[in-house]
Amino acid sequence: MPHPAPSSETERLAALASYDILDTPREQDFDDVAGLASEICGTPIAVVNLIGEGRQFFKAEVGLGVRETPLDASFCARAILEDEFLLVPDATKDPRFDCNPLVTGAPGLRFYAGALLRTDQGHAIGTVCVLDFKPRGLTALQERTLRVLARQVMKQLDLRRALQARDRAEAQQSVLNEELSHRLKNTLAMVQAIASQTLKGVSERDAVEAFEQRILALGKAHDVLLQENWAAAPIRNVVELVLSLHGDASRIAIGGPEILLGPKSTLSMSLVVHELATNAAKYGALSNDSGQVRFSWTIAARGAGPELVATWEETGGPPVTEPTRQGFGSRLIRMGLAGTGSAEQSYLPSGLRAEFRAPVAVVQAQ
Amino acid sequence: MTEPREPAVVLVVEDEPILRMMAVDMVEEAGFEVEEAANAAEAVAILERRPGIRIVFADLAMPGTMDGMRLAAAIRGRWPPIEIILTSGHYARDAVTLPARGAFFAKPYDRRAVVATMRRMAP
Repeated sequence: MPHPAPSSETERLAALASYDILDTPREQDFDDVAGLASEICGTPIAVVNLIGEGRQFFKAEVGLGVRETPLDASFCARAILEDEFLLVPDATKDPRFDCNPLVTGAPGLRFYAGALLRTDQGHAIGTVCVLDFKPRGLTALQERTLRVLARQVMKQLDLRRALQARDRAEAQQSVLNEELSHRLKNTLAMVQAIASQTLKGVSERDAVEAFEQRILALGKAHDVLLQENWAAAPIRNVVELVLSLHGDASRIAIGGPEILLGPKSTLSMSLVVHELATNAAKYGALSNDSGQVRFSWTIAARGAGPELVATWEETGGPPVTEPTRQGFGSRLIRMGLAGTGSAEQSYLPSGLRAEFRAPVAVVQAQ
Repeated sequence: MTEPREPAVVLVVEDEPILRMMAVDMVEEAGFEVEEAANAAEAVAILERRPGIRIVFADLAMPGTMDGMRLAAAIRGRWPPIEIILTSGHYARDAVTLPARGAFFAKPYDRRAVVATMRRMAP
């Protein structure tokens, strides 16, 4: 097998640093590897080590009782310079080790066998190795076990690094989302301020008010989306935040199963609920002192797949009639959830009843 | 006969001029007297010379050495009776540690709700 070109020490150390593993606590995953190596090879000592700058760090060890040694007295520092697999049956008879203080003095190490931890780029960063106080050899199975364990340790390290990279990317994305959301909300506040200055002299205060309230509803929808990192927002949070703009919450009962709405549906749901609540306060159940509103949603089976069915029911208000003029608010309501256009409004003697239907797959995805 | 009470003074602290203009209008239309500052340092200078300020309505994120949060802390230390209302486009309510008796409104804020809070704080 051809060896990858030997790397410079700087590159090797950079590769090791990318795993962020030096000086981390003991972990079962690696302790298991050292334990198995020791048992299968029948040696009193087994370690998973990483060769840093001027020292080696034992991520896992059996029979050593230390987690770090300086490099000049190390077997493993030499092993790194050697092959994929280094076997030293008797260190006193090996010129590479016969002057090593661990061999010549206490504890009198004699036997060493180690399999390299080598990255995909070919950098050798450590070993899985076994040691003994007496000269000996390894069977083919024992040698193969060490090699397999070394590859598994390397895989473990690679996977951990990939997960860390993903976490970091997600954290960065989250910061970016927050910044964008902040700017967006400041822009909405500017639109609100410019409108309030521009429309100061306008006599149709209702229209000015309606505009400002819609901007606020949009702002609330963005609040929910920011909290959920722009992924998906629980329907209850969306509805509650928008209704918080509408005074007496005790007169609006909400309820239904947990469903996550996609960003687009969060915005349309916010605007629809806002319009319904605004109309209720002007003409419907919330325009007197005693009316009630119930906004509930459920999942109903339909031919093509499950549907979100949301119902706005007013009771106890003054008699209502269908408005003759179709303003922007009415059109927003008729567009329904996720712009699917499925909205049915009935002006019943008891009050307005509006039902919205949209495929669950659509409201969750968009 | 009692003397007609002086209207309470609200100090608006906002670095963005257009937003400050809207806030000043909102406060005046609500019947308060208004002082305005573009940053926390200006706000402190006004607080030092102008008596009668009952409420400070401040943006949390402002340039300069002192943001709205530190301004609020300074006010709590030096002028404890003054009420504090904070606003921001940056934070959700959960992320803000409010000063004692403080209120918070996310931007864009509902002007009616802000005014209602001011009236409650300075009846």
